[in-house]
Amino acid sequence: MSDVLWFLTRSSGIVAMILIAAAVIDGFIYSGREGGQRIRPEWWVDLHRGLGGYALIFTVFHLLTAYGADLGYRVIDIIIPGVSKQWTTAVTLGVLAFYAMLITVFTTWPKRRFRIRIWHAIHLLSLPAAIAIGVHGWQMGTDSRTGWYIALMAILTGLVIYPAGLRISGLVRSRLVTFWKA
Amino acid sequence: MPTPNDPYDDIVTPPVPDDRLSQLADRSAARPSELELNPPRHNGSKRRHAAKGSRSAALGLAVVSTLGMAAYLHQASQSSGSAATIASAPATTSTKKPFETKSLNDGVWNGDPSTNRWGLVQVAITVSGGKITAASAPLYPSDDNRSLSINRIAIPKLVQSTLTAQNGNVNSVSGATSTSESYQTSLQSAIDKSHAAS
Repeated sequence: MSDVLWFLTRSSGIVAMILIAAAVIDGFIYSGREGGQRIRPEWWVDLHRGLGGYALIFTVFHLLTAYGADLGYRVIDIIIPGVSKQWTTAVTLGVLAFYAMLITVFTTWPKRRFRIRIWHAIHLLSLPAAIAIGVHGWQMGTDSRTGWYIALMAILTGLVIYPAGLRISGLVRSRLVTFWKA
Repeated sequence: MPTPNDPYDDIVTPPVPDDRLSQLADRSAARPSELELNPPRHNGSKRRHAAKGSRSAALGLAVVSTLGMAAYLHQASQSSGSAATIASAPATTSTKKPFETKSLNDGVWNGDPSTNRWGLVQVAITVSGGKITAASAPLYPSDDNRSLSINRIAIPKLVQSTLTAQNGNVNSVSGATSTSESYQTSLQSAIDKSHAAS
């Protein structure tokens, strides 16, 4: 049983990372209005919410299987950042990213209760969370030095950077236009 | 009240008969309302999802990927373990001897380190009065958490099995096949050294 949980820990961690990357990519496409004419914005935002929720579910599954696989972690190690005696930095990054994901997902549902700027600032926590998850996986992932994992990381990084670049360039362009009009 | 320059002030609107008014009211009442014609696709408890199909596909794909990847990783670890065993087989067969009852020479004997895909395993035995009185594994894979947690459990079991068997025929520990095989190889090497000292 422990072996099964161990392999599920590895696979669910990787799938959770892919889902997080997909949610981030979708978010950039939606907020940058880069979704094209054929697909409605509601579709992008709905998929974005779904991917974020699934990423959180798979992360919880990853944590549960990691604990069940008897890897030597205590409950406190996966709740409080910085207390783990093994892989302290990587585990801390993972725990912090998990909290950032929790905050991001659970502030999306009562979004209307927040001011849009505050909500947006909170929602941007997903970016450092995604980066922290990548570092966490790279540092302590058993498969992180295999060829397919390196290829996967390279693809995911490229897929995130491209819409992020589009979004940032769009923001800069709109700010410049506003500045010149004023 | 007409304005002074109203061009239509000479137009007189004929009064609408009461029966016509009641007819219009009946027709209006009989017409289905906008809500009945276009009912909302969701009610209070169920939200409408624009990307319902894509979300379901993403979830299904994620679940299948998790299970499939777990199976693949399991398969990969099995085949790598077999490959490592096969690769180390010539060295193993050349040094391994039948589990004999020949008396051992006293002393502390370190077996040759045996490699598997997770790292090295080395066994040290203490022989006193011709019997193995202590065994330990000064070297075992501990680079990652998984190896560490497995071997922390497996090594004491293998040591106990060594003390019971008093030869290289120790029981493998389930879930620690690679470590067990390497342990047996290194243990046999230590026993051979003890024999060779005579």
